[in-house]
Amino acid sequence: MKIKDGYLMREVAGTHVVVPVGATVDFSGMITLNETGAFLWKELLQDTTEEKLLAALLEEYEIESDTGKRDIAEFLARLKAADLLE
Amino acid sequence: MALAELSPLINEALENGNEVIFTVTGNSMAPFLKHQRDKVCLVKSGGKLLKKYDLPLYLRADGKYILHRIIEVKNNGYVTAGDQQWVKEYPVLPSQVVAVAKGFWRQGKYISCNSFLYRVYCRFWVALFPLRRFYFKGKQLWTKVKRVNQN
Repeated sequence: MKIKDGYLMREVAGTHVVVPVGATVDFSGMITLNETGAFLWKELLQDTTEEKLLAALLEEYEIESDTGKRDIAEFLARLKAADLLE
Repeated sequence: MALAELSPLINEALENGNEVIFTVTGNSMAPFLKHQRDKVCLVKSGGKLLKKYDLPLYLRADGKYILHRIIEVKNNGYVTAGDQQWVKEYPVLPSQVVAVAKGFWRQGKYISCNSFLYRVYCRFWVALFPLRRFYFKGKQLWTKVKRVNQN
């Protein structure tokens, strides 16, 4: 799975924002991400799996495996709900 | 997040020749555009002189982005006012203008700035500008009277 094409993530005023880009840049469809969200987003730019995401997350942050799993599941569920994954 | 914080992204998009879409915040352009309900589509103005009735997005000295209508073009700049305002802003310089409206989504329905009805609305609404003060003052007074009567 990976993030669909056509989105751009930028750091603006200390926050990570994602906007749909094409001929039109739609700021009304803007998403803001926290640090972990931004980290996972970057990982999801290439095709990956939940296991790989967890391994990357655990390497980057000092958290319990269960917490990481839960965070990833929640994040992926949100991305799926917004139809951002392929 | 405030529009001002997004300005690097906005500028980049406009410089690339993209259209940008924002959700309208504030009610200064009511009754046409309402807070958080409507969206506006803007394109780079490219430094060309705008006309009466155009709706530019411009930057004030304090860094705030403003979307108000041009109600007069003078030698020293534009005279602008929101559709719900009776106080004019002058001068707004062409160099302050970031982009200009191309169309809107009003209650979810797209309206082009070139559409006949929109152009009629602009002319009608700006023509009535001198009466706005009385209309809004009257409305304020009416609300007050109602409140007094209720107490």
